[in-house]
Amino acid sequence: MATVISFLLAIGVGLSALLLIAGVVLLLITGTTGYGHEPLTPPLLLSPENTGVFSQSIGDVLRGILTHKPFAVIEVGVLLLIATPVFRVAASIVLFLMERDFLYTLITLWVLIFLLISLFWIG
Amino acid sequence: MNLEELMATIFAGSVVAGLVGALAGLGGGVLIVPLLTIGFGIDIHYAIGASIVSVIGTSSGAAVAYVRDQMTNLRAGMFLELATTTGAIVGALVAGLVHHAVLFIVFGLVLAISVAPLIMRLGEELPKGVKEGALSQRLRLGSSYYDVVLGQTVNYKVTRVPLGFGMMWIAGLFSGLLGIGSGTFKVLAMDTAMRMPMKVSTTTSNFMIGVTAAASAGIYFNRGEVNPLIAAPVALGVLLGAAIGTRLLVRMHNVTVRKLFVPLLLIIALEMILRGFGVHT
Repeated sequence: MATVISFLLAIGVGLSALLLIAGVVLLLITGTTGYGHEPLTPPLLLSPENTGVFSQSIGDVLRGILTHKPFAVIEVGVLLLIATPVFRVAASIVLFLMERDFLYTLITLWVLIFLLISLFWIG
Repeated sequence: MNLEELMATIFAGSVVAGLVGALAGLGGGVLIVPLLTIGFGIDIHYAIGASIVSVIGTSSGAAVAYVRDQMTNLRAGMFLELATTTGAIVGALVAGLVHHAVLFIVFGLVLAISVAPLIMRLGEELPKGVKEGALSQRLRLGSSYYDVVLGQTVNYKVTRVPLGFGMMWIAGLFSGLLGIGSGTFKVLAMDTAMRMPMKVSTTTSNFMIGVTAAASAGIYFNRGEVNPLIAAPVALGVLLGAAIGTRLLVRMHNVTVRKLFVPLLLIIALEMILRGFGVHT
């Protein structure tokens, strides 16, 4: 079981890194973010007024990746990375359940709930 | 400098941050935020957003090798995660409410405190005379592991759980507020408050860092503070740097290496505090 978790974590981090690289490459080749930021200049990096554009829900981002929008590709990479510890916690729930340790199944479930609250935070 | 050059420089800087973080045993988070804010003039919210993502990256990357390690106390880790995750969520929310000067100053102070374990030896290898508390018993936190170096099985008990829980909440708060891993505070909570053996504290802390970071990362993401242009090179750079750093570490004498970085870290901490007071050096 531990080997499986280890393997899946490696896949998660590896795939995430690939997506991040792919997104950056796409960005530099096409010279666009996919959300209308031409031309791409350094102030885009630095000024906080652009916040609105990066506020993407998970649904938007997944739709964006299907049309190869560079920003969406990067953001899915980021989400996947955030998901790796979430997955680890979920796997622990299963482990505790298999051990019939109901107290810790519940405790770990609560940790998962807190993580999901953060991931689906609105506002 | 155009955008490509800027992103390449951020990547390079992140590799160094990941490297130094791994060697100093502090993690990349504490170095990324100062690098991005003071080094590149990037808004601190973007810096924290990028940093917290990189913390998850290094944590999960390292976890690949350590999932099977039998020193991590999974029950203690999970129970205490109740504290760290709630603290992290509060931290992320507070970060969105306070003036950025507060973030700079708190960051500097936290960084300075985090340097302490590099200078002083904290905690006990084999704690003696630990009286298990009621909560610890109820939660079955006591455990054992086989210490390869000492050549014996170490049985240990856990105590002062409420204190440890409170300290973990604060560790989570700092993690969510500043975009760092807070490993130092987690180890402090387990080591000093709950008197767990040092090796158990460090391995369990490493396990907890990624989960705690994920608890605040979601909020940063949804607030639009994870800027893809910054987060991508930072995450990739820190991953690479930390990977190199951990390999180098195996060949080096731990104690000496860590002490080397103390002055550097204290200077960075001071710079952050000064920046918070509006002093640009």
